[in-house]
Order: sequence, then C-alpha cells, then structure tokens
Amino acid sequence: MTINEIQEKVNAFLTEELEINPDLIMPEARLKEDMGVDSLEIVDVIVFVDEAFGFKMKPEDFKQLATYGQFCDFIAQKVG
Amino acid sequence: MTDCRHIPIETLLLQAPPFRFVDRLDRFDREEVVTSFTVPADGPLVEDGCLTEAGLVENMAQSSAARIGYISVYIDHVPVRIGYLGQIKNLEINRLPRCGEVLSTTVRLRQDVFGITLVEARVCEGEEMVAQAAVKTALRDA
Repeated sequence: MTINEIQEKVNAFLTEELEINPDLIMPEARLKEDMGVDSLEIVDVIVFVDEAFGFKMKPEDFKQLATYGQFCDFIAQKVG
Repeated sequence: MTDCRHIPIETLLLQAPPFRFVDRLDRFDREEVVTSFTVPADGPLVEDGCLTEAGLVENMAQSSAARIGYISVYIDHVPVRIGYLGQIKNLEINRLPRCGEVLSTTVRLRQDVFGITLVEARVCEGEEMVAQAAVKTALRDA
C-alpha cells in the first residue's frame, strides 16, 4: 500500500467519521491541538486502524505520534 | 461465558434506584456480557408506559458499566469506579419498550483504551431487537 493510498483512507476517516475540516489536514498538523482529535476519538482511531490496515495500535504508540504526517508514516511502516 | 445471575447488581454498578437501568448481569466474558432489566411502571425515563430513548441509552451504558464493574471486582480486585457516558453513535431504535417487558442487553467490546470503552450494545425483548448503538463510556480516575 502506498503512502498516498494510506493518506486517502486516513483522510476519509478523519473527515467523514471525526468530521474534521479537510482544510486542517496537512502533514505538520497536530492531531490533538490543531485537528481537535480528543481522547474519546482516540478509541475510534484505534478501531479504524485495525479495520482499515489490519493491526492493533497500542496506547503507547500515540506518545510518539503528534502530527498527521507522523500518524500516516507510522501506518506505512506497519503495513510495509 | 460465566453465569453471573447470583451477583447483586449493586456490587457492580454505582447507580442506585431509581436511576439504575440494569437489574442483573446475566453472563460475562471479557469480550461480551448480557444483562437484563424489567421496565418499571414509573420512574425517571419512563413516560406514557414506555421506557424513553434516554432510558434505552442508559440501559446500554449501564450494561457496559456492569461489564467493567465485574472486571474491577472479580478480576482486578479494585473498587468499582464511576463511569460516564461519553458518546452514542449509530443509535437505532425500533420501538420503545413497554412497562413490564424484560429487556436483554448484549454488550460486545470493540475497544478499551485510556479508560475509555467502546462497545456495541444491542437491546432485545425476547427475540425482537428493540434498539442498538455504539456506546463509549469513560471512567473517572481513581
């Protein structure tokens, strides 16, 4: 899966499920502070990643994933 | 699944009547629990002889809380904590249950992280599915 395909799925999830303004989605945007992903929505993120990419994120993974770009790169590493 | 019908519900849930919308935890396993609740003749969240939409949501949320309560008491051996309803998604109600009907609510775990639990809840009366939703509950820090 290419990074573009990953970003496409992630963007669809962020805009449709979490109702994030597409204009806010950019590599350096911070998930929590800039895009407003709150602690309740982290659960949705974990379920989405499991269903869309086939692996389970661990709570500690989020400590190193501050931005949208880091999040997509993390998925790319996991799915090869 | 473990048969839990002998366990007093007040040991698993902090809500007290008339604000308790689960009578009993029937069966437990880590991924799924089943609770039962008889719709009372009157009380909060009962109107015109039926449990309201809010009452159905409370039943789902408290069924999820009963699962967490069981884990706290019988597995982790820690006090039961107060839980809050965080979010309801995909709520589907086919009809409002009538007074005297016995509801059987099945709660299936989807994710449990950072003290937030996401479950799929399905409320049935007999074989009939009355309502379903995805429910998030959050636990207050001890």
